[in-house]
Parts: sequence; structure tokens; C-alpha cells
Amino acid sequence: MTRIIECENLIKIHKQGNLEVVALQGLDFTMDRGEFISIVGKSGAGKSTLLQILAGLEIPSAGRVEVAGNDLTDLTPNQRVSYYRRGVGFLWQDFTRNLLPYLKAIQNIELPMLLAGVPTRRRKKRSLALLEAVGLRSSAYAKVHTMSGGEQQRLALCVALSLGPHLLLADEPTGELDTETSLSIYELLRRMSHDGGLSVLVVTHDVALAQRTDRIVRLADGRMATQGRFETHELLAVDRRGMVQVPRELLLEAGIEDELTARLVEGGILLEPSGGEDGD
Amino acid sequence: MKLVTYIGLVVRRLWAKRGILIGSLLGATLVIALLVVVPLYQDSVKAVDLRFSLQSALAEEVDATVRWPTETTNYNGETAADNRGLVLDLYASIIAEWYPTYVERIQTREFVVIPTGGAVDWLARAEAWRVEKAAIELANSQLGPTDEPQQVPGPPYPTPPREPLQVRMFTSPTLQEHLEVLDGAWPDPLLELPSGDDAAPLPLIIGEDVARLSQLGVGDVFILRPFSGLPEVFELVEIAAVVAPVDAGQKIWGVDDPMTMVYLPQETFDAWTSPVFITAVEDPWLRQSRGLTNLTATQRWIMDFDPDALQFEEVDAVRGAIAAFQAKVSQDSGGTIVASSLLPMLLDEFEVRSVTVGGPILAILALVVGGALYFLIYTSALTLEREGPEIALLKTRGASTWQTTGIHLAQSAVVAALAAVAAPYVARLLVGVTGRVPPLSDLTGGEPLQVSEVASITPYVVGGAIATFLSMGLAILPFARRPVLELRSLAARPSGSSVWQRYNLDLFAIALSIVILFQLVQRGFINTTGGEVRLDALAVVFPVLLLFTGALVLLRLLPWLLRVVGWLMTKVRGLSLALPGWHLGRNPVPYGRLALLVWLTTGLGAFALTYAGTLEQSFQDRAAFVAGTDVRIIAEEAGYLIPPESDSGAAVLRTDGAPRQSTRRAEVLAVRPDDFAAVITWRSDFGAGTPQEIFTQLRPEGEAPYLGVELPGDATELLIDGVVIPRSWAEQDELDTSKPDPSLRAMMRVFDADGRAWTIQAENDFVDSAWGTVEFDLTDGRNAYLSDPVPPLTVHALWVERSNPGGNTVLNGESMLIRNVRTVGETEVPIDLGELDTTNGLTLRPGVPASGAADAYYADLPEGVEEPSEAAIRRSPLYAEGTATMWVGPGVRTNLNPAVPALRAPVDDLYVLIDTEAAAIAGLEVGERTAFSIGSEIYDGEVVGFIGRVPAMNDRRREGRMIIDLDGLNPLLNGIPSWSFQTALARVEAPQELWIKTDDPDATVRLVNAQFLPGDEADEIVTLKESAGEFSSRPVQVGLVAVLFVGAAVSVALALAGVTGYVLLAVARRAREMGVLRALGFPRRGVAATFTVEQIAVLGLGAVIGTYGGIALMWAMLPFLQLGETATDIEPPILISVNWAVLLAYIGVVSTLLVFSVIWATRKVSARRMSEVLREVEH
Repeated sequence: MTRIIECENLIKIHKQGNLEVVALQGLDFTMDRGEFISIVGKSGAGKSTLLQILAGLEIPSAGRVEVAGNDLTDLTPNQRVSYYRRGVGFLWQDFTRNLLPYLKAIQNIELPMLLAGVPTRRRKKRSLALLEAVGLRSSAYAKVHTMSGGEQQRLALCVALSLGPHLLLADEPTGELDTETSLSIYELLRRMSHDGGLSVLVVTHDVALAQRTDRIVRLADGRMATQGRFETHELLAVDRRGMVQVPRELLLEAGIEDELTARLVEGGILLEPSGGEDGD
Repeated sequence: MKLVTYIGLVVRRLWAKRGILIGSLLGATLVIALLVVVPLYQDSVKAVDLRFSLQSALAEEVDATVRWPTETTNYNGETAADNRGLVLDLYASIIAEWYPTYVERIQTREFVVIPTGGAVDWLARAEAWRVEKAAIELANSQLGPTDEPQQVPGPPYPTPPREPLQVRMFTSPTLQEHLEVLDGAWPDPLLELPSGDDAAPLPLIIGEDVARLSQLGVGDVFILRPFSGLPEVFELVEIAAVVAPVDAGQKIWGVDDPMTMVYLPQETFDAWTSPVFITAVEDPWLRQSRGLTNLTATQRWIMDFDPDALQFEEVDAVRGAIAAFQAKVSQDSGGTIVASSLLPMLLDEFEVRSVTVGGPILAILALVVGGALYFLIYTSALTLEREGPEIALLKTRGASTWQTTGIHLAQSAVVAALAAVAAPYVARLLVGVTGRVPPLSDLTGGEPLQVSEVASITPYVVGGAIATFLSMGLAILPFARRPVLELRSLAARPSGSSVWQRYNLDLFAIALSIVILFQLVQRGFINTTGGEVRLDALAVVFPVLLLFTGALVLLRLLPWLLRVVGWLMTKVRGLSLALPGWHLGRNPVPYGRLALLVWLTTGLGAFALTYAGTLEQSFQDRAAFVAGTDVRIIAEEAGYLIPPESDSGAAVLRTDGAPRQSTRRAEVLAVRPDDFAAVITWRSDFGAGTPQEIFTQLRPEGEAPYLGVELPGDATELLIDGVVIPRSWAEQDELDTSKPDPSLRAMMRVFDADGRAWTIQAENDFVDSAWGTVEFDLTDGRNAYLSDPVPPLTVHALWVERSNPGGNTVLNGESMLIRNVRTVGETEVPIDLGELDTTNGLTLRPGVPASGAADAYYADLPEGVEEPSEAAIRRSPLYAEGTATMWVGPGVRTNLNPAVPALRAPVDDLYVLIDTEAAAIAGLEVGERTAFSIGSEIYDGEVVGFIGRVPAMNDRRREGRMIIDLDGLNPLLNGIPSWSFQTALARVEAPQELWIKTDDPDATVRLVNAQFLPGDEADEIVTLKESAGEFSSRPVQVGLVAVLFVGAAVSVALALAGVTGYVLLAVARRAREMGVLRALGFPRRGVAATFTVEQIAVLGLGAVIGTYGGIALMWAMLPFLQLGETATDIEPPILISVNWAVLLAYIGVVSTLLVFSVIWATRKVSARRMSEVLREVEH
């Protein structure tokens, strides 16, 4: 497998007035072609910063980042345009920001191709193929505002993929969608990754959805905390104040509703529903 | 194909953002339309002005006249016919287009009318002469060879009576068209001169005034004789008809008094004026040929100008045609015929006015266009800020900077192109509509203003389209280069400092303004080089630059100002004020553009109102300056007329003069300070103080000048006992009868209460035969004033002269004794004339024995006469007891010697107020004494103060101004005694003007006019009301004011749109803040109020600054106005006049509209659901 993303000791410092905020603190991260990865982490962990760096929207303060052979720390404006056209596709959470509302569905997909100088016939063919792929063939000439949120996000996916990028970056792509629609989007992404060889990197808060990716990368304080998939044991991050966030699915599985009891046992802490084995 | 797709994309974008882009399209259309309005409106208003000028011009000012003057005897019908052909051919081919009709007239110089049956019956005298001549000739024929023949007396030539009626002879090819016969019948034309001894008198037509004045009618015969010429040139005529104009109200042939003419049919006139040889030896009454030789007649054509025939576009053409016509007429006639017209001069004045008054139109339109362009840039920037996420999206979808820019530029180009298509129609509509609304509707009769399109509007359309394209399009450049993340956050984050401040362009603009101002001051706003008046291009740019520069400078200061405002607001209780206060104080920069828009709007409105007010005030000032007061009556001795009781009046004597007898003659007014100060219209910049303070300087001692001995008010007579000291009895006996009568006439010069100088001659003389009482009637004088002397009278001078001079000698060493000077009224009051000085060789010896006359008489007795006894002497009428004053006259004085020995009141020096320039040229300072020339006299005087401008002292021929005390000048001018034998005795230099302050000028004029004697009237009556009528706005000025208000209205509309847009964006940007406030429990209304207060604070500050900015701009434009209509300085200078009531009302209305737009925009946003707001906060 060839690497599509290579981040090495990535540092990003944001300046807010006189304040310096360290968003990434020497992040090392790699991704292979065709992988479907989710990035999770709490607010301020550096998820969005990483995504923006990978998207070429931000330049890292230090470190190295290479996407599909493009060194993103040293792009000329023309290279950046080229990178946007061929290298990477974007899918934002706010689906209205993915689409131009005054264009029809197919026109939205054609727009990047138009900007890249793709001939009309090829544009149309590719657009219809993409719509077909996401199940929106019948809505090709629909106006954006007449489409549902899920449809819009699928359409946005088509737009992001219109120029056939190597990498798709999605920032909370289902954040404004219901569970069912979210699952269908994730299924679509998985299919495209596994069947189409598309590398997909998704930022999400939703651990359940993250479970549907090939690999979960957890960021904490600008560094990679853990990575991998967990089926019976969930790896949870402990923040500096000692707070732990337990995925809802895990809580439901354990029958924990509103309250739980934390008990120190040998080699760890046991979380049980309230009213469990008192005195054990 | 790709291009089509791009265009499709652009069109879709346009359609999708049609709400905003329609605003841009309207703005762009407005900008281009306003630019197109510049030539259209200027031309259209100028066309109205031209039409107005031409229609209100007198015929003499526009008509063309062609004149063939004959100086000697060369008038004849043949030449007249040749001239006619020449002139009318050229007329038809060159100027007939604008002069559709013409009249021809031939007019002689004056003839005198000599009646045949008046005091001298010339026909009878001629007949008698003829009989006498025949008799002499018969007698001579019968004489022997040695007899002396009797000489035949010359024929009796008719001579005019003492005050003959003068008439001019007149003819025209259109005689019968304009005259109707009142009596008699129109005579047949006489194509040949009647000849023969028995030829009937020539038939003549006379005007009805001639008939009335001469009391002659149809059938009457009279003699016509040239006013000058050979005595034998006269003609006997018979009245064939009396005529009157067909239309009495219409001027015919351009003649003022057609009814004082005598007429001949043209053929008769031509035949009659052919040279006839006459010798004096023939009988002029029985000539072989008839007619009038030595006739000086002028053949003249008057081409009637038709103002409606001249289109504005043809101004140059008509000017050229007139010049060509003049040249051709002169050339073809060999210089004998002269064509002239004042129309080119009128057109020149019009052109000058177009430049001087049109300049501000250009400058103001430049302002409006500048403001509208700013609006475009402003809205484009706002739009782009809102479009930041979309641009970001395009960029992330692979759009290059050029593609992003290209899409936006194409969009701007489409808007600019659409605007360019629509703008000319909008411009024509705007121009047309201005004719329907006041003040232009008064001139157009409510019709749409006819749009004149002299110059091509294409350059303006293209220029406007480029300007709007650049204004909208260029805004993309900084945006297109911004990073995606920055673009995405644009709508939620305020912009930083402006480009102007970042690159210090505002400071550069200030420097540029200063340089331009310096240049303008150096070379003037109007260039008049080469005799052509042109507007300096910098003058148009300067006001725009000034306003924008001022605005930019204030933009730098705005953050500090807002911080202060914010700080003040935080001091007020209540979160709705404190919160916006905090925001203003902490983050004032983003409000700059909003403030700038409001400045420009209120600035333009304030400027428009101030301009209109200043112009109107200037007209009033100019009218008041010309009038001087409410009513000014000008007539001989008008100063002595009595103003109505409820009014204040001041007599004013106007003359000329000079300090130090300079050749620079200044205007001089002699006034009574208090009266004058009470009536004169005054403006604070005319002098350093009130009129009262300024003019009372003429009386440094605070009192009126000394005029003489004041008599009691009830006195009706002044009596003086006196006797001429006689020669001795012996001498008298030797005197022959040719010796002059020793009686002395007593004369007195008094001033009455109105300051009128009266010369009163005593009813009886001083005689040398007895003491007598000389009586002066104080109720009348030798002057012909409209009313009797108004008491109390003041005796200014007393003198005597021989009552029967019998030659030039009026005095020769006569002496008198006088005493007991007294007045008679209700009581007898003794009068002491001791205050009067003796002058011109007169000596007074008081306290001499009253018996001196008797003593002198009896001092030398004729031979043989016995010396009378003491008792006899005492009984003599020459004898008086007590003492008397001896009046000792000097030696010989003739009536050619104006220095009359007299008792006269000492005359003070003149106190003079002089204008600073004249004083500086003459080298005079306050307190300095020198000789002043006043009128034709020289008087000593002292400068007591300086004056600036004085209303009604505006004679441009004079260099400088002086004011003197009328009561001080009066004795100098009118107090000097004069011999009664000179006609100058009663001549008085009277004040010719009466200035009246009144509330009812019409009634005042009526009442004052009633004081004139029947047949007399004022030479001129100047009223402020009429003067104000003359100083009304010309159409171009009216148009200027109209366009100003249109501009102000446009700017208000733009501001409303801009403010609404800005507030919508500002509130959207601050959704997070709103969300937080709402989450904290702030009610929706409270949030809206917070934002509203904040915006209103900025608007209020902007309005205040804009108002003063507009007034400052007016100050910058003053030099334009000061040039007036004719590129000469307006007198008095124009001062800025701010009508605060109207201005505040305007600001109030604008502020209300803006506040409503703010409230509407804020409520629209604050009405959003909280979840919606908070979701936005999330991102």
C-alpha cells in the first residue's frame, strides 16, 4: 500500500491577537491510499486544524506534511489551485457551504470541472455517473433547495469527487443529518473507499459512526492519542482534568442510563450502573 | 462553449443575487445617468436660460438693424431702392431663419411746423410781398435812364414761431398696414413732383399727436421747414389724413413716438425728396419745382428677432450669421450701409453666465456622481463580504484567482452594460421631470424640461459605464487573493482599517487638495484669458476632493470620536445604552464606511440647503445693497419731501468728491447721521459697528453743526431797525440823478427745520433818508420749494446790496446803522446776531451813536443853508437816540464778485468718513485734516473714521466712497450769500434723495408722490421690493438649485439603501453576540434596541459631522458664486447663509428615515429564531 498522507512532527500555532494557541503539537500521522479513516477527539484537540492543513487551507507552523506527493508546506498559488482541483475533495458539515444554491444539482457537480477546463461532454457524463453512484440520478436537474439534507450532502459528495481526487476530506459530514441518513452517507463513503480506491478522511464526534471506518485516530491536545479499531473494549481518552467521555453505545450496552458508579478494582476502574454490587 | 457556460454561470449568479444586484444596477444606472445628466441638464437648463434671456430682452437688444444714414442731401428714391434690394437679398439668404420678419422705415430729421394762419400769416405776407414786388418792378420799368431804380425787397421766408412744433417725416413700405385713418383719406402716391405756379399744396398724413399739438385738421395747410437748412427750403403742405396706429399697444417700426410723425406714402416720399434746384432770387413761393432738398433721411430696416426660432444648438450659428451679415452688408454697399445687432453681446453674456453659473452645476454633479460611485464601491464591498464563503467554495472547488476575479468582473460588466443602456433614458427622464417641479416649473410652465442634446452623450455613457464597472469590479481584487479560511470568515468578522489609511492615501489627498486650492487661489476659478471665459477644470474637481478628503480625514478621527461617544454612553444607566457604548468604544473601526456614507448624504443635503439659502440671501443682499433702504425717492430736492408719519426718512445728497483734490473721484453721500443710520439697510460686514456707531462719527462733538442764530419757532417776521448813513446834505445836492439809488436791499439766508436753505429778501429797503424798520417775512422765501419754510428758522447770513445798482456795482463803501433786531410772533423777541461773523470786508462797529446818520447828513451843508439847530436835527427822521451798530461795507463790489460782504455764521470744517482704500491712496489717517473736493468746491475737512461698503454707493465709475454730514455740508453749499441779481440766488444744492424705511412701500410711494406738483414726478423710485424682483434667480441658477435638491434626494435614497445593507450585514456578523445576549436572557426587543442604539449613535455623529462638512463645502464653493453671472465680483460679497431651521428639519427627516431603516434591519435579524442564531454561532 502506498501512503497518501504523511505528517511528521506537525505543529500548528494559531495567533489570536497576542495569544498563541498551539493546535497541533508534533503530530505524526500517516494514511494509506484507499483507507477510510475517522479522526475523533474532543473540542480543541486539533481535528479541524489537521483537516485544514491536509486540505491546503492552512500552512503548518512546523513539521512536514505531504499529500499524494504534494508537499503542502511549500505550495505556490498555482500548485494550490491544482491541488484543489485534482488532489483533494472537500465535504463540509454545513452542506449549504458545499453547494451553490442558485445552480441545479448537475450544475454544481459540473462547476469544478468547468473551472478545471473539462470539456462539456465529459463534464456531463461524469456528473451523471456520480449522481447515479449516490442514487441521485433522478434529481440531476433539481434545484438544490428542493433537496433534503441527506440528498444535499450526497450531492456535495459528488461535487467533491467530480474531478476524481485521490483524497476526500470530510469535516463532520453528517453533523446536521439524522442517524439513518448519516449511516447511509458513511456507507456510501465506505463503498467509494473500498470499491473505488478513494482515500477518505473523516472528522467526527460520533464514535458510533467512527466505528464504521477502517481506522479511528483519536487526537488529544494536538497529538495522536490512540489509533485502531475497538470492538469489545473502548479506548477512552482522559483529559487533563481527569474527565473521561464514554461513548453512548457503550453506556447503553452496559445498561447505564443517567448515573453510574465508578469503582476501583485491581488494575483499573470499573464503571457500573448505579445500584450495582454495593460493597464489592 | 466554455465561454457560454461561464456566461451562463454569471447570469445564474446575477439572477440568484438579483436583490442585491438590482440595487447595484440601480446605483450604476444612477451614476451613469447622473453623468449623462451633466451635458443634458446643463444644455437643457442653458436652453431655458437662453429662451428666458431672449424672451425677456428688449427688442433693441436682440433685433438686427440695418441703417443707411444720409448725412447730406444724397437721399433719393433710386438709391433707396438699390439699398433695399441689397439688404433684403442678404437678409433672406443669411439671417431670415432667426429674423422671420422685418420692417423698413425711412425717417428724416426734424422739421418745424409753421402755421399759415397763426400770428404771422405767411401766405398773406408772401402775397403782399409779391404785390409790392410787382409794383416796384412796374415802377422801375417806368423810370427814366437817370432815375435810380427802386430795390426789390427780398422775399419773406417763413420763420418758425418761438416754440415751434417739431415733427419728423416718415415713410415705410408697410405704412398702411400699421396706420389707420382717423380723419380724411389716404392720399394717392405722387410719383412725380407737382410743378407749376398753381400746384396744389402737397398732401400729407399726420399723426394724431401732431394734429392735437398743432390743432390742425384735414384740409388745413401749413408750412414744413427743415429744422436747419437754407431759408428758401420749405414746403406748403395740406393735411390729407390724420392717422393712428392700428394696434395702439404694439410698437411699430421700432419707433417710440409714431404719432408725432408726419407721413408720406413711400413713392411720394422718394419723389418729393429728389434734389430741386432753387435760387434765392426766384420767388420761393412760386417755384417751378416742388419738394424738399437738403433732406437728411435715414433708411433703416429692423429685422425682428424671433426668440422661438433660435434653438440652443444654434447659438454659434446665429452669432456667425450676424457677423457674416454685417460684413457682407458693409462690403457690398461699399461701407455706406451699416448692419448691427446687440444679440451677439447678449449671447456672450449668456455664455459667460453659463460658465460662471454652470461651474457649480458641474462641481455639484461631480459630487453627486462621486457619492454615487462611493455607494457602488460600498455596496460591492458589502456584497463581496457576504459572498466570502461562496468565493471560498469556488476556490476550494479549484477556481483560480483569475477565474474568481473574472466571474465577478463579468458580473460587474453585465451590470454596467445594462446600466449604460438604461441610463440615457433615465437621464432624459430626470432632466425632463425637473421641468415639472418647482422651481424650474415656474419657467417651463409646468411642462417637462425640453431636453437639449448639443454635445454627444456617448462619452459620458462610456465613461460612466467604465467608472461603474471599475467601482463594482475592482472590489473583488483584494477579496480574490484572500485565503479560503479568511474568506469563509469574512461575513462574520469585521474588516480592518481602510486602504486609504493603510497606505496613507488620505494624507496624500489632503496634500493634493491644498495644492489645488493654492492653484485656484493663484489663478482664479474662472479663466478669462483671450477674452473667452472658461471654467477651470480644477474648480470642478476641488469641491469633490475637499468633501472626500475631509471625510477621509474624519475617518481617521472617527475611532476616537466613537470611543468618546461610547464612553459617554456607558456612563448612562441601562444596558441598552451601555452595551452599544462598550461596543463602540472597543471596536470603532468598522463603523467608518457607515459613517462616511452618512457624512456624504447629510453633507450633500446640508450643502444643497446652504447653497440655496446663500444664493437667495445673496439676491436679497444685492437687492438691499442697490436699494439702500425700503424706498428711495430720487428727484430734484427729493430730500425735502416729507415721509409718511409712520415711516422714518432721511434726506441724502449725492455728489462726488475727492480727498486732497485727487483725480480719483469718489462717490459722496451727505447724510444726517441719526436719520441715515435709522433707514439704511445694513449687514454686519459692511463696517466695524452698527450704522449708528459708524455714522455718528460724523459728529464728534455729538451735536449738529452750527448753522447760525436760531429764531423762535413762532416768529413770522424778523425786523431790523436801520438807516443807510447818507452822504452829507451838501454832497447830495451836488449829486446828479444818474447817481445810484442809495437804498440798500437787505437779504438773509436762513435754514428751516428741514435743513432747507431759504433766501429771504426784506419787504422794504434800508434807505438813507430815514431810520426805518426792515421787515423779513419768515413765512416765505424766494426759493420755489414745495412747501413754506418749516420753523424754527436759523439765520445763517445777512447782507445788503444796492436795490437799484444801475450797473455792475452792487456796493461801494455804503455804511448803515442797525439796531433792535427782533422777531415778531406771539411776542416780540430780541435777536442777537453777535454770533455771526463779519466776512468779505464787512466791518461791524457796535455801540456807535444812533445819531450817526443825522450827523453825517448835517455834517456838510450846501452853500446858503443855515446850520440846523440841535432840536431840528433831533426831529430829523435820520436821527435816533441811543446806540446802534454800524455796518461798514467795503469798497467797490460788483455783481461779478461772488464774495458778498455779509454777516455769516462761522462754518465748521467738514467731518468725513472715507473708505479705507481711498484713504490709503490719499495717505490719510483718522484725525488728519486736509482739503476735500466736494462737487465743484474745495472745503477743509477732517477724516473722522473709515467706512467699508455702503448700500446704494455702487457707482462703478467712481473710485472710493466718502460720507459727510449733510448739515455740515449744507451751509457750505447753500449758506454762501449771493447777490440777488444773479440767477444763482435761489439755487440750492438740495438733497436729491429721500430714503425711507417703511413697512408699506406702496403706500409710502403713493403718499410721497402726492407731494409733487401736478406734472412733476420723481426721476426715479427705487424700492427694495422692485430691486428684489430684479435680483431673482436666472434659470440656470434655478436649475442649479433644482439639481442640488435632486442630488440630495438621490444621496438620501442611496444612504437608506446603504445603511440598511450595512446594518443587515453588521447584525449578521454579530450573530454570536446576539446569541449570547439572547442566551443570557436578553429579550428580543432588548437585543434589537442595543443594536439600534449603536447604529443610531454612529448615524447621529455622522449627521452632525456631515452637516458641518456640507457647510464647509459651501465655503469652498463661495468663489464660484462670488463671480456672479457676468464673471465680475458680486457686490456686496456673498456670505454663507445657513437656514438652521430648514437644515435641522432636513437632518431630522433624513435621520428619521435612517433610524427607521436601522430599526427595520435590526428587527429583521433579531426576529430570527434563537436556535437559528445559535447554530450560526456554532460555525
